[in-house]
Amino acid sequence: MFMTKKQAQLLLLAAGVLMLLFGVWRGEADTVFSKAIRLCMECVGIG
Amino acid sequence: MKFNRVTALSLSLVLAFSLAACGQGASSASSASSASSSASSAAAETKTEEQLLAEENEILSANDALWEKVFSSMDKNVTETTLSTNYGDFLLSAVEKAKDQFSDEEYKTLTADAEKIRDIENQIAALAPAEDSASGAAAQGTAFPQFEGSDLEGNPVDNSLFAGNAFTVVNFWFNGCKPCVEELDDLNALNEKVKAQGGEVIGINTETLDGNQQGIETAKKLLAATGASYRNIYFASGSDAGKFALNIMAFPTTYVFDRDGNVVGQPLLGGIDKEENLAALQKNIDAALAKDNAK
Amino acid sequence: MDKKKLNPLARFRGFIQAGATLLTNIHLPNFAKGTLYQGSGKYVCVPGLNCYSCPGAAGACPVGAFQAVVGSSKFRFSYYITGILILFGVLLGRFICGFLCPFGWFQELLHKIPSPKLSTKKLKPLRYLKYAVLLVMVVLLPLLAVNELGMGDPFFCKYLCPQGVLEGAIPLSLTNAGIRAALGKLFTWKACILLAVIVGSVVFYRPFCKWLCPLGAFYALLNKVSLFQMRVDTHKCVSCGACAKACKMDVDITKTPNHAECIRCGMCMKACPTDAIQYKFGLGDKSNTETTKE
Repeated sequence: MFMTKKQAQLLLLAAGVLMLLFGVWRGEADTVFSKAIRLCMECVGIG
Repeated sequence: MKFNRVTALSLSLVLAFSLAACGQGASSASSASSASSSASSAAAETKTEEQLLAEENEILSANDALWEKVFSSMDKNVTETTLSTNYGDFLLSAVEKAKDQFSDEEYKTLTADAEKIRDIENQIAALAPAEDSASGAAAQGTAFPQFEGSDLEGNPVDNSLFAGNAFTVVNFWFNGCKPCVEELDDLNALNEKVKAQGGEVIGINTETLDGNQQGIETAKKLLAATGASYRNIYFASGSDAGKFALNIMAFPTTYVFDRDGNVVGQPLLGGIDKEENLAALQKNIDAALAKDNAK
Repeated sequence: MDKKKLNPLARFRGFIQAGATLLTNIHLPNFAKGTLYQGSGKYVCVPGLNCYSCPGAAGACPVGAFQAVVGSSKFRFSYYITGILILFGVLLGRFICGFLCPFGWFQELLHKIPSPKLSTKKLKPLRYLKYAVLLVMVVLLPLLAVNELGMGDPFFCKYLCPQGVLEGAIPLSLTNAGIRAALGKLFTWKACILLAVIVGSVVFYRPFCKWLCPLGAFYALLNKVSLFQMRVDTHKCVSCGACAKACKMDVDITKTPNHAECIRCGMCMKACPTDAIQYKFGLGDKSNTETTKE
């Protein structure tokens, strides 16, 4: 195997943190927030 | 054995929560309705339900003998549907059925009476506070709070906008809301249509409150892309009007306000690009128009 | 079977599930008020499948939030939510399904209702359905089926998710007349799905988790590399097969201790006569760090 489990785990953890930070940096968190504080009618199955 | 105990405990927890929720639900609903009824009684010029019902009885007793005849001619099995229709309409159809028992003049008085009652019933319906109006959706008769704001072009707007219209349709939306954006062109069409009736459609985008530049830019883009040219306004989020707007939870929500800035009917949830929603909105508009014409 | 030796996590799993569900929906007064929590907790998503339109919800739903970002006109992919989910997945994997997910707990409680119980062993191919749900309904359709402004619908939320009806539509429509008036065909369809899942959960163990849940699918992909893992001590194992028989997710832990379907519920640990199965938390395979000691 070209990569041990430990390396894969560390790589994924780093990737997760980087993606998270990149997402926050480009303003995705605000989109999530604005959707999450309001009732998403189509989400819950209304109308 | 352990597991059964866990289950029993968790199930009872769930039950307890749901019961607690029910109990609180009932009490909050009743407090909401009492609040809204006090609001409607505060509006001095509107008659109370009791007064209106008394008027109805007066009309009926004025031609007592004739109405007795109508009632005795009626079908005894009153169905669900007849009960839910307007009582005036119900009387009208009863008079229509028993037509041949009356002279022309008697028939005219009866239909006139029934029509009066129908109008009174409409007033009562417009006045009755929704039994369980939810928080987040302002109840019937509530006034739009005093505000001073501006439209997206920067022109000042305040409460006087209501007085200038026979009725005002106020649509609450936000930029990330797909169903909201998809009804913008329909709202624009509605605005063009109701202009002739003295009505106006106003948009309030909750992301433009406080003059948020980014929100306003996106909103303008969306309005332009959908060809919507009716007025969109904003005000300070900390003001009473701002609180009113931020209290709205489901989007899109569309209110109809009368000339005095009071809510007419039940606010509509959902886009008017759907036929049934447009019909529901039209009902509120009709009620507002009837109210304005009655003045 | 000596119960005293059982790992406390597995022993008190029911309580942990109840606690996690409560914490995920901690804003209880909102149920009565019929409003949503609007605080900054909603910037972050919770680990389990929990509708953010639930009055009590303390955070955003990961699946809903992902679709909201992908479906918005500004973005085409959510690095933010994917990042969070990778972290959740690598740290805990499907431990989240077994311990933290409110909808998983809901299905488990339903399964306790006495009824004939059916095995899902022969229905294993259906497991792959959830990956299709993840790919098609959560990622592709919100991304590709957009209007002229680039806005897409949250297809999973809109057409499939029963949690939205259970936590969102039902409690809100109880307290809000306007929402009641807005219930339409979509509600009927999704109420049918919820009903099917409820009936299914009584006879099958966690049918939604096994076959449909896109969140479970995502965590399943990371289950093999998650830091929280299972360890079978081959010296202690007597190959009696009790663990495989006890597993309600149809996994043979002795062959695949970190199978994609293993939700770390610990039923195998309970069944093991020699205490050969343990939880462990740490990097790599050889770490002996255990989450909890006796």
